[in-house]
Amino acid sequence: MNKKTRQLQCRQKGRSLTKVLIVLVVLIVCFALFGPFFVPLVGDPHKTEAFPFDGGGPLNMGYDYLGRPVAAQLLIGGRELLIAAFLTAVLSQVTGMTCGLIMAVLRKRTKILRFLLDMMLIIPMSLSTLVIYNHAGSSLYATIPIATFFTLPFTSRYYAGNAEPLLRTGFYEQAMVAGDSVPLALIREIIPVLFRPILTDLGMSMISAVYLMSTVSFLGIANNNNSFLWPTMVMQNLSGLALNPYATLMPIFAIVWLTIPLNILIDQFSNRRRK
Amino acid sequence: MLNKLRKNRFVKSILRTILLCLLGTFILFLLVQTLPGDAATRFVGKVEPEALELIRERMGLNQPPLLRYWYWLKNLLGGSFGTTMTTDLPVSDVIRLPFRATLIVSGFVLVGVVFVTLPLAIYEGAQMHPRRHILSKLSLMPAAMPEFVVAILLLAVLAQGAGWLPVLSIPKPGASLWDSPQIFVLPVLSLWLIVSANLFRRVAALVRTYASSAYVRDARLAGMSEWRVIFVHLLPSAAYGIGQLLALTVPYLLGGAVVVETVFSFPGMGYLLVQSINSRETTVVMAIGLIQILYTAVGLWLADIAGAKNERISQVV
Repeated sequence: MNKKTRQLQCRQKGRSLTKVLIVLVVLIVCFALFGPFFVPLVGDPHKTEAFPFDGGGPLNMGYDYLGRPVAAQLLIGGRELLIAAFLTAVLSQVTGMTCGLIMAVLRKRTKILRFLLDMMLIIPMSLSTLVIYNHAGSSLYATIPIATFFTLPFTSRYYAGNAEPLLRTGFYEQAMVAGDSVPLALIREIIPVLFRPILTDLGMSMISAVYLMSTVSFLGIANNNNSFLWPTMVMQNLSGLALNPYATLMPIFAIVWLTIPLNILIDQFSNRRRK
Repeated sequence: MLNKLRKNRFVKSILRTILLCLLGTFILFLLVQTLPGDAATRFVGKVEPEALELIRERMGLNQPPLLRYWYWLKNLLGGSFGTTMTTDLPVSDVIRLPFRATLIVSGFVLVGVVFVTLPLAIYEGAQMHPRRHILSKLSLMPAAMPEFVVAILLLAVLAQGAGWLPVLSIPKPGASLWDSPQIFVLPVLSLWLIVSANLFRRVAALVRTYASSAYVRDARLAGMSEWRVIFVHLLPSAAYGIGQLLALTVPYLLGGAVVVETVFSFPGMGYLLVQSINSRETTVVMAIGLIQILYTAVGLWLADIAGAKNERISQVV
């Protein structure tokens, strides 16, 4: 088998893997977003129906630490996590890109901005997000601004690094000479060129946001027995792992199904872009 | 002239780091003040308002937040973290054991990283074996999962399933940490997997960059053995970049891996932090927060120095 044939086979394998990954991601996203509509078919997640960590129940997944059906909780546990993570990713891209472009254009005049961004870097993110999560009564949506705020140092540096070389290009200089204002020239000339880095970083931000939201909801349950987020289910049912492993392992399986294919897909996409 | 410039930049970077830490502690203090309730309400629960006011006065919680921050800073400059609000114990005594526990775990993880992860990453990056990409693909799995997922899966398999290790990593009452060394295994293994997964691909990518440079290629063409090429030509150039990546890992380990410690109930800094936030022990939260801020600031400063050196080398390469 010669080198070209081997390369072609590798490329075909890569494409098949990408298709499988896309299908997996779409399936879990649909499960998370539309799962709540199927809850009435499975049971009432708020109602205690059995002993804590009992077996059996809807879809044979048993019951949680308060005797409530695990299957029903699993159906509603992904939506808030996914939407909050997506909103965080979008917001962090918009704010990061704005800061990054300002840093790229103004350069040395942004010393104070860079200092403030470095200050955000050293404040422990898990601590500050946990504080806000506790303060907001265990609502993930309330952590969106703080999560966006703390990813700003990374996203702004990423966009500043990508935009700086583009500001020295001929097409940007031509736009400036033609009389376009700096914001207009950035929107028309620079941002379209950054389309692929934006997509790549949006994917990475999405994954980081899922991690952060999962970690915060795992740690900061704040005595909220009506929170059915997947990570919260993991923490609340961990003590009953030996009695009903489904109560802990099914939400873990859902989180893994969301993060691993998405991560591999983003990795493949950014590798392809690098080539 | 160049040395004078470098010295000035060095001094400026130190002053900048100190200022960052100071402002960081202030913001942290403000954040903790936003928590609903305080140590008094958490300690006594529901009591008469007059009794609650007396307790808050005793704990110093009736003073303005800025004044409380000033007293905390004054204590710190005098070499003390203050005392806990509920038990009046010195904070340094409260955090001593968790700090030691976290140091021990971090030490083991760093040993694992230096003697297992880095050699494998260098082996992969130096393109020494035809099946090299297997390691990279394997490292993607733990990197793709949140930390608590990795920790709980290990718990389910090694502790619950196989029964080889204790489910909870708690030392016996009154005993020292070393009396039950098996309590370290799961936290160390989880942290090592998490850190390695993130570090592996970056180090391999860095080494790959240097491995494809002209002087390494020339060394190979000159007939030198692969080990000589790596140790004499490749590693010295890549060392600063690898050092930079390691420096960025240390704050995460020493700052208390909050999630992993919570999963195993390991009595480290991270676990103490979560307990202190729940009980609103501001002085303990500030002490742990300060330690995390210091480690992060110093880690970033070292990473910047290593990065600057790495940049000068890579410009030559």
